[in-house]
Amino acid sequence: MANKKHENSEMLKGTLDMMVLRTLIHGGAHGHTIAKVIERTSEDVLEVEQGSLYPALHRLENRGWVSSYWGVSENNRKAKFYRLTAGGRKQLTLETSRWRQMARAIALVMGEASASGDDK
Amino acid sequence: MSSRRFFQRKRSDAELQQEIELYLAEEIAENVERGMSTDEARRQAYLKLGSPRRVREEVWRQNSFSMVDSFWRDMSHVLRRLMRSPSVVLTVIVSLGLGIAANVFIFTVVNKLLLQGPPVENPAALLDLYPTYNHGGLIGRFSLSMYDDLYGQTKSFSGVAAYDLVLPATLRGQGEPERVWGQSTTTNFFDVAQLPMALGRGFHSGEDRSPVVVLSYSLWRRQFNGDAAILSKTVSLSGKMFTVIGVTMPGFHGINRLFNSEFWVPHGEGEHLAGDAMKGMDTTDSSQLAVIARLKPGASRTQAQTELDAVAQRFALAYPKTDKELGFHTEEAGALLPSQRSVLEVFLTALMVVALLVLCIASSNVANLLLVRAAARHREMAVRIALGATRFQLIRPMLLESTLLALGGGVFGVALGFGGFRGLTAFHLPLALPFNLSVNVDWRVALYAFLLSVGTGILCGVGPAFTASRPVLPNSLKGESRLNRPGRRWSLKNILVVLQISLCLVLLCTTGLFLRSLDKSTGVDPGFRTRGVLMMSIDPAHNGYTAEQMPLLLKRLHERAAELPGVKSAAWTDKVPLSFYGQGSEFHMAGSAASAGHDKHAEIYQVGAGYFDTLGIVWIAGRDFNTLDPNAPKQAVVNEAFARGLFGRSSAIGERVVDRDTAYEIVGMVKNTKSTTISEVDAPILYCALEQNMGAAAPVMGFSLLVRYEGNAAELAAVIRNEVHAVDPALAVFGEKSIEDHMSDALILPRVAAAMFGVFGFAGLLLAAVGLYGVVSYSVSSRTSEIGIRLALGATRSGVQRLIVRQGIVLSCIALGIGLPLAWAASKIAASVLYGIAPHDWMTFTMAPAFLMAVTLLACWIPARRGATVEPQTALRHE
Repeated sequence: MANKKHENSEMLKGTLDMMVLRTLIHGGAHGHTIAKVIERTSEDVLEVEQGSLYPALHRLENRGWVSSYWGVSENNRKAKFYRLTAGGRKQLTLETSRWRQMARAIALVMGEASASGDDK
Repeated sequence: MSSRRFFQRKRSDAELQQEIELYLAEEIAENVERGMSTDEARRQAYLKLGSPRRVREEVWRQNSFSMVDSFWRDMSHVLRRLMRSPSVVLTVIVSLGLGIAANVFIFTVVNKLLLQGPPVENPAALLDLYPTYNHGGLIGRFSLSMYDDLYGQTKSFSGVAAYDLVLPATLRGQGEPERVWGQSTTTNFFDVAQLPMALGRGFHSGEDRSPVVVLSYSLWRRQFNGDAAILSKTVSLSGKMFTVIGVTMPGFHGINRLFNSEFWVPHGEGEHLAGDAMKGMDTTDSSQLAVIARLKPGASRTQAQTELDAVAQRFALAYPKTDKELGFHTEEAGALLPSQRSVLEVFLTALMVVALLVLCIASSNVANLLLVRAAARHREMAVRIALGATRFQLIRPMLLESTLLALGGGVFGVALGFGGFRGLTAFHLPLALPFNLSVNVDWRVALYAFLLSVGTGILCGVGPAFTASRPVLPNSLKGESRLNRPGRRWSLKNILVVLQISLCLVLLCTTGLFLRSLDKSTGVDPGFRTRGVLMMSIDPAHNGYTAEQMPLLLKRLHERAAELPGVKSAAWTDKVPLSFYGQGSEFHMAGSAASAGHDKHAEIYQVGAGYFDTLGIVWIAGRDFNTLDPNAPKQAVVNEAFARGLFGRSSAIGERVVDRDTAYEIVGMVKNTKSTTISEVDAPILYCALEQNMGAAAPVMGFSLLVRYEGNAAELAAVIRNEVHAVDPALAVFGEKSIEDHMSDALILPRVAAAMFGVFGFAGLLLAAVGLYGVVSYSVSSRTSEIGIRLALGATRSGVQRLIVRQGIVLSCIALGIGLPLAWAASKIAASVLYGIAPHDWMTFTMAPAFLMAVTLLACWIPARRGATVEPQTALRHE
């Protein structure tokens, strides 16, 4: 109900969902790992706020894009793992292509030659 | 959003908590690996995570329906608040309960008399048919021949059935013989009515002359202890054996709403039950059948009416003598006739208005109380508004609160209403006809009570909620003002109290009038003994006795009763006076011819020897009957009204009078007595000797034995009952009561009215007093510092008291000024049903306001006294 509105107005949330899905493409992971992976791969540019990570995970789970199971973490702690579902995979493809278009468009407007690169 | 998630919020929250813990643990471990101290590692981890609670709340909200959730939050908040103030809850629930009880009570009666259909399948398609004469001016009943003619003549009906409205019988089940009332019906009655049965079946088409009977559920429970194997057993009805073939569903008492029918027999058998009483009457032509008809699926009432009109015209052509100007009237089955309905509607509307008045008083009380409660929260409201709450968010919980309270009041009210129905069973009609006075609560009553409660709750809450959600911000935040806006003299509270008191005055005056009327009625001398007489009835005609056997039976019973110890005298009569019904005839002087306009109508009583002595009716002239020989010339005793009416003088001894074909010689004259009702003008009465007139049709209500006694009535009644059963164990004894009880039954109407208005008036008074008390105490508490200042500046305590009481008095005086003219007008309406009282009875109109004034004074004085005890020191330090 109320979620939809948030999503459309807040672009960052959408991208967070996409990045989470992307992280899970190589296999299941728990919340901490997901955050770490996003931070590492973005070379610590993006800092994942836990305040939005967990609600995002729950949202994705509710939509059926990820599923969860209980497992044991690397440090032998009981942890809730998330895994990409078939629906999630499809959604990831969709979002990735949409993101590419968007990024290219913004890059064109900004007059840059290539759509990739850091914003440093 | 799925409801599964909504209900699993707790579990998912617990999981989330685990996840967060894991996150922290991993983060801390990682930080320690980086070389931080344990404390620092923990600190950094928490810093990175932020508030775990916020995360949990976010997920929780995601899983919630926001509307439902906030509703529950409001609800639990309201419940907590209410729990903290049980006295408020109690006051409101009792106040509203009283108001709602009054309304539910009246509505249940309305529902029973005007709305509820019989418990048959598809009641809307079942119609009552009546023949009308005189171009619809006169509504009658069917004769068997007319029913036969009508049967099968109409295409819009799938079935037409007829039944005899009331048929008395003596039932011998497992207990003592009991007099019961039933109906004899055509065999298709149950098929046309489409009545579901609790046990067995209705009549089959070939059973018109078979001795079979269908019992009502209540009779089956009462006389046969709900025997599940009752089917195909036999029961004795008026001495004839009948086979039980069915038991109706609970709640079915026949199609007619007012009569309580308890058994059904085929119409061909009904004549046997009537016994000797019906002998000699041509049943095919007497018009006493009620007829029901079921519309075919798809046929409308208008269609049926058109068809019936055509049938009526055919009848009029075929039988010009009897069926001229014939018509047919249809009514939804069980509905009252328009003429009956209009009288009832006026009466019930009046009662409903009164009940609504009580509810209005109660509601304004509650509104006031809620206003005060809201005022106490002005600071909270102001803060919340300052913090950005919307008006709606403030109003919602307050409306919820008042609605909850009102629903509580509704539940209490319905319970009270049931108590009222219990109380109603204390009132009996003075005659033993099977009126169905039971009431039942169905979905209509439940819905009405619910809607009324919710409506009341919202109405009560809306005013306070709006006022409270609009505090004068700066003042409230500083804690200065209550709800009072500067310069406002007439607050909502004061208006409500004035309204209450004036409505209460209207109620009190009406109550006073009814009480006075009851008092007057009780004081009326009926002209006969009203103490120390016992009465009981038997109906030998419906027990197989022939006209020849009856005098013997009555004589034997009379002798046995008269010889009992404690019995001073005893007498038979065919009806006890003040039984709400009469039988009469037109009389003229012997020698002159009968003429329709000039003959005088008089009530006829058949009385046995010793009647006048037993009832203490005063002789004026002449003597009691001295011959009981049916073949001798008939003798009569008349009352003064009869003599004056027919002969224009006070003595009529020796005169002869004639009704249709019987001549009577007047041998005695007695003083007037009341005959049908206590409020009537003295009616002419002719008493004739029971023994001389036994051959005529036996009275429907049986014969009543009047016994003048000394000692214990209940014991004597049991002894006489035994004597009756010693003579004939099959005789049912009924209508057993003392004349004191009979007199109070005869006053049923004024008693019911006085009781109802008494309850309403008392409730109204109580509510208004509480309301005024509340307003004055509120004003005292909000003026504490003002009083303190006054006292500090030298005002006396009595002066302060006067100041506060004066406020209350001003309000009451204004209310009296408004209420008196209203009461004056209302009493005019009440006067139409009052007996023996001028509508503008000076006593009522001085006593009621004086009484109300005294009560209001008391209601003001108590808080005023408390206000005057304020200590200036504490009052000034306060706030």
